[in-house]
Amino acid sequence: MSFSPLIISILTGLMLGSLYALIGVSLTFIFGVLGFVNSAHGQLMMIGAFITYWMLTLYGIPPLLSLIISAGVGSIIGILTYFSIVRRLLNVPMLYSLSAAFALGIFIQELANVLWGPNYRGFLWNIGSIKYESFYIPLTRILGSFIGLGIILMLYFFLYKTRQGLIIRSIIQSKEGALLCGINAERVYLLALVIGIVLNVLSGSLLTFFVSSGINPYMGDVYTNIAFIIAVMGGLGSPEGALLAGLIYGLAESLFLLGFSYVPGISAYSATRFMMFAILMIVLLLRPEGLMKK
Amino acid sequence: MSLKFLEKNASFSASVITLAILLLLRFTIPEYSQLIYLILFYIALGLSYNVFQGFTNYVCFGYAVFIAMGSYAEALIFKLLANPSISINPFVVVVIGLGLAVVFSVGIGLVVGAIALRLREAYFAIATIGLAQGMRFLIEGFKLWGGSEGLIISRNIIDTYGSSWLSTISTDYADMITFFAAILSIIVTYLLMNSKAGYALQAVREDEDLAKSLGINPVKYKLLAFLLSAILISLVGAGKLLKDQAVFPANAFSLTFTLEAIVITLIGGMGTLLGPFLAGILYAMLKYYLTTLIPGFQLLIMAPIVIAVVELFPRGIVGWIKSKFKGTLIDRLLK
Repeated sequence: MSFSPLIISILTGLMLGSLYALIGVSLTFIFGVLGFVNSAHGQLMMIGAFITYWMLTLYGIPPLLSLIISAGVGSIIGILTYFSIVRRLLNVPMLYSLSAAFALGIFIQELANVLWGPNYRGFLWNIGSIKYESFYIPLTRILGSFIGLGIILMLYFFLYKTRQGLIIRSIIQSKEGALLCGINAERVYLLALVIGIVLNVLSGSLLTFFVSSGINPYMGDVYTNIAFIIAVMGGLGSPEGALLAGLIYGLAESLFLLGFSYVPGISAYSATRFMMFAILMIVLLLRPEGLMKK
Repeated sequence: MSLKFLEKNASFSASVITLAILLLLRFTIPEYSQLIYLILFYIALGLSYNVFQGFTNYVCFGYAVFIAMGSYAEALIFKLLANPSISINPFVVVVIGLGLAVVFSVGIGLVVGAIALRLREAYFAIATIGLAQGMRFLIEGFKLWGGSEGLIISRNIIDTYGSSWLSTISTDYADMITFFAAILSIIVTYLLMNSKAGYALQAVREDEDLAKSLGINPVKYKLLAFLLSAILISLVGAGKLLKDQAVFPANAFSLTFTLEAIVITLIGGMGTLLGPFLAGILYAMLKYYLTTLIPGFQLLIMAPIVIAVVELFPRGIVGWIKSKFKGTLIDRLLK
């Protein structure tokens, strides 16, 4: 028996994990600062994936470059969402912001369906691969995981090395305290939402570095779930926690997928997805405050 | 009859009488039966969702699961009991199916509710977003209950009871079950508004910490509302199975029902009886006449409406009227 499927599985899991970490970080960051649960998360990722797809197929812009466009679109969506939806819902019962974000997600995916149709789309983007025994690891994946980690690192530097970052952290730690110190919460909220949604859309574009097929208006649902599982595992509102949880999630998913593929009579992909939901329930039962909380 | 009695019972009686009229119309004017089924469906959907959201202020994004479970329960019982070798009266089969629907919805409601209702709204919403997908992946992934191909019961009905029963089951039976669920959801709402358990629930909704300090166990009452809501809607799901005579995971777990439930509850007025009741009727009529005009755009239209209602009109129709006439008889009559 060869161990190479296991090794490949672990490597894939860790690489995907860095993308998942970004997905979780962007969700948890918005929640941490604004207390807004972005249940349109997956649909915004779908927009990111479509940007990469259209830029490549229509204008020949390579996926690496279109990341910049995704960031631009993300910031526009962030500003629009803030002024049209989020701003008025910051101080009302959470029920309302939850419903609004949920509806926003459905609106985005239905709009995408009207504009682009329900078909599955994909593209070929090959920049070579690394061979390990009989397996090939595409370089795009390695690149994607490094970009994912790089973006998280940038967020980290922003949060810990700049004045704006300090202000945002102070709001995460204690909203009342920060307001008492004379912080203009309105501006911080806008900034944080824009950053969060830029990361959100970027993570959708980065997703195509890993899987460049299956791009369709309804692809988002699954990722909303993944984002939530990671954010909860990491402790809702904690970017550091989400980073760790993302890596763990990627690894666990990859190993479940490998394990289930040996079980006859089941669909490994769907079974894995179910297991991840079961894990969310177990985490909520045992450690609802997250894995890292002391 | 005292004024107090009238205030307490006016809305309840009005909605029950309306339902009775609908039933009468259903049997006297057959052309309306499809519209009336839709109206009953959306009254029941709105009110049973309101039993949870309106009395707890929690949102459940996985509500479609309980409709799906009702459908699956009924379908499984038909697959099991409706075959020529055992001749059981179709009515009995349907009732056993309803029983299983209750078992399924209580089972899932207990697991999810007991875990997630202890936590803040955000966590509960997150858990339930995964719920619909989780259950769908369970069925598709482990190839349970027909896997992604779903369950179809029309063959069983024809082989066991003859083809004339197909339409009896998909019209009379389906409509009666949905009527039953609608009237039950009115009664449950009325009871929650006028009982000790209901008062406890309202206290928890207004201020959980305060309620706790008065010796009310918040999780217990929230769980009660969640389970009642789940049971009611699973009956509607069972009725839907009889109407469609098939259940497929891709449709059964669709977001549409959840969004519809939220729309009807919010537009009508959360926590009221008349709100979801009237909004359910309105929504069903709009859907009945608009689907032919603009097929496929239903979600695209509904989603911005939810956002608009949440932003501009958070109390809904009935809540808004009540606040306009605060303290007057109108306020007290509208429940």
